[in-house]
Amino acid sequence: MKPSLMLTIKTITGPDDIVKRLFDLGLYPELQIEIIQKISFNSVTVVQFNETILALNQEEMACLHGS
Amino acid sequence: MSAWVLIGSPNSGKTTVYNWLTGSKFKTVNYPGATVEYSVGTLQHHLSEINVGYAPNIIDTPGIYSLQVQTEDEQVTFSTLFLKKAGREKIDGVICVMDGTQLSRHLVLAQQLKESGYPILFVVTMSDLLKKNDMRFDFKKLETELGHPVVLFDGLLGAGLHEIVSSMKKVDEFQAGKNPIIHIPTTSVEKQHQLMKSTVNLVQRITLQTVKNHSVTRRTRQIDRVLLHPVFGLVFFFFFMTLLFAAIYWVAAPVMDLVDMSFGWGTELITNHVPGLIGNFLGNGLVAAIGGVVIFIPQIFILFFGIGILEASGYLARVAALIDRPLAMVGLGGRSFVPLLSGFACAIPAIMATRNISSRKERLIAQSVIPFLTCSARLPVFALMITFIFSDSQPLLAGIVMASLYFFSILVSAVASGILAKLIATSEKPRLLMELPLYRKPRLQILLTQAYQKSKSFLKRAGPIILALAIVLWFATNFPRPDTTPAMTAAQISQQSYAARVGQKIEPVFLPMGLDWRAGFGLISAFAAREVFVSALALVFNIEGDGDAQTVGLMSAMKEATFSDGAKVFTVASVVGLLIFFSIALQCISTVGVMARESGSWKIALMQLGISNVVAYALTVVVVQILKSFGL
Repeated sequence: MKPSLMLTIKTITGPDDIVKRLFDLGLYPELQIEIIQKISFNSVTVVQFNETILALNQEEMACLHGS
Repeated sequence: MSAWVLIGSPNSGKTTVYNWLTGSKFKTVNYPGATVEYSVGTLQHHLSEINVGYAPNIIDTPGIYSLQVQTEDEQVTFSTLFLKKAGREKIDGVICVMDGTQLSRHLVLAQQLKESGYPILFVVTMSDLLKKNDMRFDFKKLETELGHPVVLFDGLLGAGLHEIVSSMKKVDEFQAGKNPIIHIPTTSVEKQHQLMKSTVNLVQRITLQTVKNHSVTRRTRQIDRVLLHPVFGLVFFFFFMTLLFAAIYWVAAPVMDLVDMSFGWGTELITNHVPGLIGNFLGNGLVAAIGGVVIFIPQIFILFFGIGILEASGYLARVAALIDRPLAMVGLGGRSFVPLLSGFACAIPAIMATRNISSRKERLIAQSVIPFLTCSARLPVFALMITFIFSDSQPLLAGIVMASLYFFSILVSAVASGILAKLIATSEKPRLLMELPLYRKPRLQILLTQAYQKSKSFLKRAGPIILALAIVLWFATNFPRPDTTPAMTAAQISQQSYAARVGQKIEPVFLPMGLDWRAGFGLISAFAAREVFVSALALVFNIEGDGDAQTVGLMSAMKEATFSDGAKVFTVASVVGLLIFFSIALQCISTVGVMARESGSWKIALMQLGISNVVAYALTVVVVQILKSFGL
């Protein structure tokens, strides 16, 4: 996934605690998010939706499926 | 007396509302998860007077994203609300704090709270940002949709404060005599999804002015392009950290000299004007001991001021994300960064800050390695030992060694963390899931107030221990005096004191470290508070005066100190050994207590105490013996 891409989330699946927290943070299927950049040796992805900016590690980012 | 609980997402502005309501000066920062414990205060007197004596208790709680709690700090909030853990039998209402720029997210928690049955008052914060970015909402409509009062609040100026209090009072009056049924709302991912969709629709219904092109976050993203740059981001991080730690020494130095001079003058004044033992006790025992603590206030103030700038600006959350990968290599994650950084000031609040880490394994590792980081209490010992080796004529070399000690503590922490990550058998991985707040300009007055409060709290915590120890140590080094004659010197009195008797009994333990009973006595005293080591040495060597005079006298006494065979006690080998011992040993009893509480296990805390000190002792002995074999 390259930086500065738009992603529309289709499903959020993965370890329970991550999925719950992703929902808590405002992510949900159908939401469009912008992938701003990758940091920390390409292991952390910075995403934005509405006025929220989040940093997610590889395992957390892998829970977001979409196109 | 009624009690209201402040609930809201992390970084929504709860503590700001709490401070305005209660007149407290709790730390407010731009970092999610800054509050890890609940605080209770009473409504400010002037607000109470305006509302005819209405004086409810206000309870501030750590932030929660939803009622599906995951971390220890979130559990504190959940317990306060539903398990009555804040010492309250009854909670009269909930003030749900929501960031106005994040309404669609924060309304999810609001909807969950509505289901709990609590009377609720909704407070929308960040009104300054809403105005600045021309984001307009129909809050009357929101009030109708939610069925509870909604108040817009400006955290900078306090606008909306009176409306909050009068709304609370109205709710209390309306609820008088009633007993609402409180229950824990059921939560699930599916329900959360539905709630999210409905709140997005709700926000659309109340929006009067749409924000285009992320105008609220535009400036933040521009700054992030530089500070979160894949390469330069790390360069900036190292630059800021170097600047912070350099400032602790260079900026603090002139103020420390001033404190030194003042206490030196005070000690001299007392010993010159109050005769005999009382003068000796007041001057060389009491004032010197207090001075030994106060002298570090400038450094502690600068450290907290610097951390305050990083937190308040919103940069700290980004650093956590930036160094997530390097920390992951030793079993930690980005969320451990803030507790670790705080560890350079004091291990106690740092260990408490680990509550924000959701992974138990990561939390335990962070709690265990924090005591290895060079806290402010180690500074006086390091400063004395470095001055002994290099003297004042080589300040650059002394500075480099001091910086090396910081790096050594980071290295020790990293090694310990790596070992613990392998030993704790669980597949649990560190979580980041970090919300990056908007950059905000830190307010100087708030930063100064918070740094002042932190410094005061350090004095309050360390003061009584050091005062009590000063009395005990002075007594132990000056009594008994069965053979005291006018001809006896202070050093001779010290040689037959209680301290000498105890010290000589335990001297065999310290001999492999290259130390005699006097240094050993100082080491044992340091287990109450590390910074006591210097004043204990001064007492045991019968050094008079304070500040520079004490340091000069102590240096001279250390250089002349010999074993019975005439060999010098303080050599490069034994001083390097002391530096290693102080870097690794866990000597702070308060830290052990906090570790036991936060890890939920005395066994873990005592194991840490035992292992750290045995490793510190063994490593010191090995290094000292090697250096000695080279004739150092």
